[in-house]
Amino acid sequence: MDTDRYLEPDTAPTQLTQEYLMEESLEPGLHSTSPWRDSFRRFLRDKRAVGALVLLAIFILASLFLLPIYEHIGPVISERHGFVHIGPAKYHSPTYVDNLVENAPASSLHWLGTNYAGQDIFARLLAGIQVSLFVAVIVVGVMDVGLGIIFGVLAGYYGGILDTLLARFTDLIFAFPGLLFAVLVTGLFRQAALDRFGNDGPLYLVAITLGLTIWPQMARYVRGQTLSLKEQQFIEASRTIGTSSNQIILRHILPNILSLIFVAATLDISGTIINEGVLSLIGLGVQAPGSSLGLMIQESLANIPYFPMEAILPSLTLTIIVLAFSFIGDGLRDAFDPRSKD
Amino acid sequence: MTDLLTVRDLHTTFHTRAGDVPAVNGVSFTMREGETLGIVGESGSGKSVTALSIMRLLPTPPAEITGQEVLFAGQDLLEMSQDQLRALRGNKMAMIFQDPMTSLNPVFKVGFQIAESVRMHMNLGPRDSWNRAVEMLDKVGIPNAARRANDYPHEFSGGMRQRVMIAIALSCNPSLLIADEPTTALDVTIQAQILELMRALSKEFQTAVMLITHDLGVIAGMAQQVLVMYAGRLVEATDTRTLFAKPAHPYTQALLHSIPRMDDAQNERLQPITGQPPDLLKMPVGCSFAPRCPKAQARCQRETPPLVEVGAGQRAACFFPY
Repeated sequence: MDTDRYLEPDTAPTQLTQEYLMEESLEPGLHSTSPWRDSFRRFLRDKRAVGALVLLAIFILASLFLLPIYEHIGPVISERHGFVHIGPAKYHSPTYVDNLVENAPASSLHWLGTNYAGQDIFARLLAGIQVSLFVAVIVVGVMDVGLGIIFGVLAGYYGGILDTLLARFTDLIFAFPGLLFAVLVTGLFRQAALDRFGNDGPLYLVAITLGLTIWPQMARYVRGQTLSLKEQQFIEASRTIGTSSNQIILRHILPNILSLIFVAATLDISGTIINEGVLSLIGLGVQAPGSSLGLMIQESLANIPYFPMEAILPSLTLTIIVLAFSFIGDGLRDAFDPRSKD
Repeated sequence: MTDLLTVRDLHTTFHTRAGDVPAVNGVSFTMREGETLGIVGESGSGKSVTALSIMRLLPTPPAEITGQEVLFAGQDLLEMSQDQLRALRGNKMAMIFQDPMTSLNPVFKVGFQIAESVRMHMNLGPRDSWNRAVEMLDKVGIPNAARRANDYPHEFSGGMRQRVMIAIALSCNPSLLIADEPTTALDVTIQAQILELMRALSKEFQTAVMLITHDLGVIAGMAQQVLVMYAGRLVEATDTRTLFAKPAHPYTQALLHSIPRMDDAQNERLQPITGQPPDLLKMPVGCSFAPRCPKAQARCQRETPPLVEVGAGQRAACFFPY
């Protein structure tokens, strides 16, 4: 997308020249920039990615801090059956069921209304975002990146039996559709997870299962990058000054592929969030009355003709989060691309 | 001067699926301390593999290094463990490469990369090793060394990066520097500067230089001793003066005829060497140069000529030298 800028003859040269002159006017050595800082500057220039990042930050902060706050906002009312006085801590809880206010429209009491079970939609949305982000962090942040780096770098650097095992395992995973595998495993072990970890059990199960299916792809990617990096002369050069293999991996290989992993991971997050949504949608994810964006969509399905907002709100939220991660990933990819050096 | 490096009957074979490739085939030579030894030969003649075998930097497998001995300052490198070798590399022997553009890690400051080698081998703290890095940058002629040490490799030109590589290589004061085509990727004026720098620094640091090149002009200007390699074998070993004045091996003669000379008669055509070097997978029996040799006789096709003394300080692997 930003390549267009370089194709336009009128704007591109002047802009580049100006920047060039500005940099040259500085004292040499004072503007020494690391590749990371360069990339960061290029990223900041990508308005779409920065916008997505801001939006995502708002979503994350809201889900983490607005939910507890929301549970303190509102009057104390009497429960509609039983005449017990309850406060917002209860009726603004994402799991509280009040059958007398099913499908209520937005009001000062329930900011975005309630769903078929009388649960507060706003609270459920915030809780759902938390679930999506939790899955993203566990699956992509820990399993995808962690296992991917460890196995990818080792297989790429040392080759041999580990490389062969990784290749065969990856082939196996590729041959078997990831989502189908996840459906199978979550379906089989859902009850066990519920028994053992309570209502959150299925969520952990979903996270681990999705993680298992996604990391070989990352490992293969990291392996490829390691292979090409290994042949670079500076690796050989560092061996000639007596650097050990461990140090070469830590000092020379990891820092050089970290940016690429970063980009790949960001793009993986989108797919993972969608997959979690799908699993919840078909009832294999978070257990009601818990909340998840996919579960919310599923719950609204029966009432779509009458209360379309109940389906639109979680769908929109999911779309925005996924798009935001994709935009950020795109922006990072452009920022780290050595060919987009300016 | 005492002997610094003695290589005796070095063989390096790559085991590949297509068969065994004898990349280095029985190479023997001696280097004295502080001496500059040139190794010439065309691509694939085994120059670089010889150097990498001496440093034991080839991955084994597929490579297999055998030989009688490779004595470096009295120690046999072929007998050493990888840990012992690591302590030696960068400290007592260092190497610089052909392409300075990819020889530095793009994500670290050049000062850090020079200091890394110092820190590893000289037991200096971060501050001292950094100072040493700046000092080395200054020595290799980088202006504003103290400031430039904070720059990243992409802020240096090719010639400057090669200077940085030389700084890294010489930072621990090694007794042997292996330069694998150090100027091939640079343009001619920079080539001259880098060679001049290497000559001056090798003198200052008393470092012996093994200079690998296919540029006979570089040899003439830099080396005291020359090895000529062809198809993994040494075909001639002599001092530089003799090499240019009285080359013994037909291959050396042909090489010299194929480059232009300033003192040549006008309008004389250059004589290319006809044919191709042999496929190392299917080495001919007998002299490997025989198929292209104008003087080849029946004996050359049958027997492999040994490297023997043909004159004072001149060895050649040919039955019919001169």
